[in-house]
Amino acid sequence: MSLTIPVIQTQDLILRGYRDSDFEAVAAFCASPRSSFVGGPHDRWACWRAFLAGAGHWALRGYGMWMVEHRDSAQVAGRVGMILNDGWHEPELGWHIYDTFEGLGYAYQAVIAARAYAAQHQGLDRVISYIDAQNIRSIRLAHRLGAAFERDTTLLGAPCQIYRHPSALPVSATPEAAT
Amino acid sequence: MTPHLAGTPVLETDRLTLRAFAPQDMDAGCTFLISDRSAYMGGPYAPDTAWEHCAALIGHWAVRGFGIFTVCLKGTDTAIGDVGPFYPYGWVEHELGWGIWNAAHEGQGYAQEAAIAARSYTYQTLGWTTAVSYIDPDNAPSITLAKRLGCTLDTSAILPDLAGWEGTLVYRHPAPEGRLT
Repeated sequence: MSLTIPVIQTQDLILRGYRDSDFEAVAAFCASPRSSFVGGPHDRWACWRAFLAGAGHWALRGYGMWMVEHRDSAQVAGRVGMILNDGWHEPELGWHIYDTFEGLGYAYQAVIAARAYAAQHQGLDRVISYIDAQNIRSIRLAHRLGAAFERDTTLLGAPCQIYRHPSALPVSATPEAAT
Repeated sequence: MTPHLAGTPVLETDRLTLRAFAPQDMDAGCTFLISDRSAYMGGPYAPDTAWEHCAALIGHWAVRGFGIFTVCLKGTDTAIGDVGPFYPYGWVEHELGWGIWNAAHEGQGYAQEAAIAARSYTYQTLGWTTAVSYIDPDNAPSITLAKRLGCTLDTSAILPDLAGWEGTLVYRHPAPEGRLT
């Protein structure tokens, strides 16, 4: 059986669906302090649930987070994509980049690809990102992506900020052409 | 086009249809998980966790290639419970689980009928050579069902290394016919 998740190639990355063998990389991130800005750290059980729910999300919503694979090393470098879990105000563009792949511009590259795909193929444009106010690196990336602070909010009871991305539709595209 | 899980099996029994957990089961599944009826499987859960748990049931099929079946009364697509093979990361062994989601469908042998069909599937199609069911010692109805299914208490089985699992009973299913385990 299969769950058909689209594949996107960028210069250095492949955005693709979920594989059994991806779990250890996801679990290492979940268990690390690096996940503290995305609701972690989590134990292995909660991480398992989040990993598989990430795959199931595609069947439920028609979009979701991709696994990000680093092309040269074939290692899992993170996850990126659109999230609408229970409790979310609207679909969110989220990104997680794992330890050894940080600081190389991969998050920017992955988010640009995911954001464009969401706008052009998933009907999701001018989307938000939830960002913890202490997550300086993500806020910096949001600014580089052209996103702007919109308001403070809470997500699942925790305070955070909403950043709003600019349109990711091609300049020539009219709203009619995009639908 | 919405991505969907394709090619999953459908099992038929006298009174039931078993199919892969699907998006249309989210409301009923979440209602069960946020209720006290899920107390013997780690609940009741907060709504967002219940949603994630159900989404993960779909993901289990996508990533593992097998997963939990939704149990429907034959001729309907309405879920009354779930049953089937389950193998989360951290599980020591393959598990066969079951749950009837509301009291109105209890006591009619549905869980047993579904579990027998799911067990045959795991043995014959997935090729499992043994299976366990993890049961809370206070969950008398499930213990009764395990015994009806021919399971025996396995006190030497190793439990998943998870918080709150101390004291969980392991019932081992009879081996597939013609095999020794």
